[in-house]
Amino acid sequence: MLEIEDLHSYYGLSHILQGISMVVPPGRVIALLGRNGMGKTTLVRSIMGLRPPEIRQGRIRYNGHDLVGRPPHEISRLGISLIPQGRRVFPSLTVEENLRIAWRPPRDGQREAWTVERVYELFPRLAERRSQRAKTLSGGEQQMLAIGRALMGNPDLLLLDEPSEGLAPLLVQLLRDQLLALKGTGLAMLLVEQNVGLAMALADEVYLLEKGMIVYHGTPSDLQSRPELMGRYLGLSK
Amino acid sequence: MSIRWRKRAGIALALLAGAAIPYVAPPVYVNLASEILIFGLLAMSIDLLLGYTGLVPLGHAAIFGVAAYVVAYLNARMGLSHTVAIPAGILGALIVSGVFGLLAVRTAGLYFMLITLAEGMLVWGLAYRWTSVTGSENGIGGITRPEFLILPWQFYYAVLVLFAVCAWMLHRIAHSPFGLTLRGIRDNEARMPMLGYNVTLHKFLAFLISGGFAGIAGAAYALYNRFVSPATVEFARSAEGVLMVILGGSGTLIGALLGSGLILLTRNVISLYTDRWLIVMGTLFVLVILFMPDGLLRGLERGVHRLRVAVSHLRFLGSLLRPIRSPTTAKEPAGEVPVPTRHETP
Repeated sequence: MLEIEDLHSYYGLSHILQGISMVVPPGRVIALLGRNGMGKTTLVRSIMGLRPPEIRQGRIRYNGHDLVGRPPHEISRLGISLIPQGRRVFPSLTVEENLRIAWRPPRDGQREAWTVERVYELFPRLAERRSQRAKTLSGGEQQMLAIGRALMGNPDLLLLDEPSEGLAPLLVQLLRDQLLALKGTGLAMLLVEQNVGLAMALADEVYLLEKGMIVYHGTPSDLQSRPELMGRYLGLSK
Repeated sequence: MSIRWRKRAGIALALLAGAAIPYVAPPVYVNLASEILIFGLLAMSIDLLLGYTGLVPLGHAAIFGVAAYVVAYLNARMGLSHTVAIPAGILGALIVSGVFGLLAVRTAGLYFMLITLAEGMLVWGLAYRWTSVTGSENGIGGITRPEFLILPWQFYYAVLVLFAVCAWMLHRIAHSPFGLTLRGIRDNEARMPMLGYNVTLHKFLAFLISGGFAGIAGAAYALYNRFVSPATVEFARSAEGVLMVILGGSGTLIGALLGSGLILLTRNVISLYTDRWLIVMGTLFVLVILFMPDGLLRGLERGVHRLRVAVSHLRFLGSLLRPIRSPTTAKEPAGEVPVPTRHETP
């Protein structure tokens, strides 16, 4: 379980996150919605231990470990995987090498461990391309590879930074089905998105982020019944 | 499977060709072949950093040179046996690359190049100024070889075996999970910590391993040349090692040997015929970069592939020139047009 308490993050003098508190319980999917420049990626980077931003105040706890001040590779080994914005696969490694490089043994035996073969079962397209260099894949295939690579670390919590970015609508649908299947395995996710449809279809709870502050926390159905919020914070009109 | 066997056959053939050199070449060239192998090993150690980790070291001749100096000092000055001097030389290279690595691996790109360049200059400065140990520009001469390695062919075979063993070890390292990690760092260093990798530690280990192999090459060089001077550790040597890797093809390991061969052969052979051998060498470099931008090894592979394609095209054209045979014609009833068949090459 990930708990963020009164988190303040800065880029230099800019006060980006101004007191974020949120919780990602085990096995649940939490969506964080917000427009450009509201601090979504800053939050993901803060959790993962990447610098910048600099965390000046607040606490991030994960399964009893304090994450603030830890280097990213240690945070990753605690069982948090990140699917970064823009995918960032290893371009000159093959599909299979991209997966193998990310493998970490599972920390407990609660869920079935991810292997290269199991990722290929989830994404048969990757199996067809296993010895191809990752830079030759299409955008949708690279996204599958980015997800598969994150799974190979056998995480308990998956951070997804705008996974639908740059994908055609049909591929976003496919992505939604794949992420639903992952949700079914009991994997917790923090889904950072601008695509409201995708977030609503997946999430158990929704947070709205506006200028570095949480302005709403509720269930997707509750949010959908309040179009004034959607209009004000997401720029959507019914 | 067939590719693997073809590779193995290629390696066996190359080793046979290497073993045949003392039978067909005069001693001068046998010595040159030893030198090519020694600098090929230095270049391979550079390739582990340059081709696999994406770091360009500009001070590797210094690490190589430290091993050579330690061997020279212990053997020629203190009269210690080779069984002490050679391991001490390699150990010295490891220690120096450990210290240099600690300073350098926190950086990447241009900064890594500049720091390793400065480290190399440091060793060069010491070689020049620490006269009581290094003999300054007089260097250290009088290094002996073990009794069974005195003749050119004896020494050559020892270096050939050493090179083959080191090449095999480097190949295994480069294709291990550790090697995959290095290639991941080369491709996207920022991504690796998020997969749980301590990037700085992996870069340091790569630097240390690379420095160790450079040290092995340096110890061999001390015995080969029997003389060590500041010229052994100077920047030009480090740059030349990087050039060998780029010419031969970075990220291939064995390409470094081709690069070493090209540079040392042109220098030693062409300089027999003309004082302007540097012009010839420069022209060669430009030609390689123009026509084989990813190095000799991959360029030659492509050349062989193109040749194969050309041959199969020629065979196809040849088959067109042959008269059309239709073995069924005779049996066809008169009046019906036989369908011509043509046998194309597969």
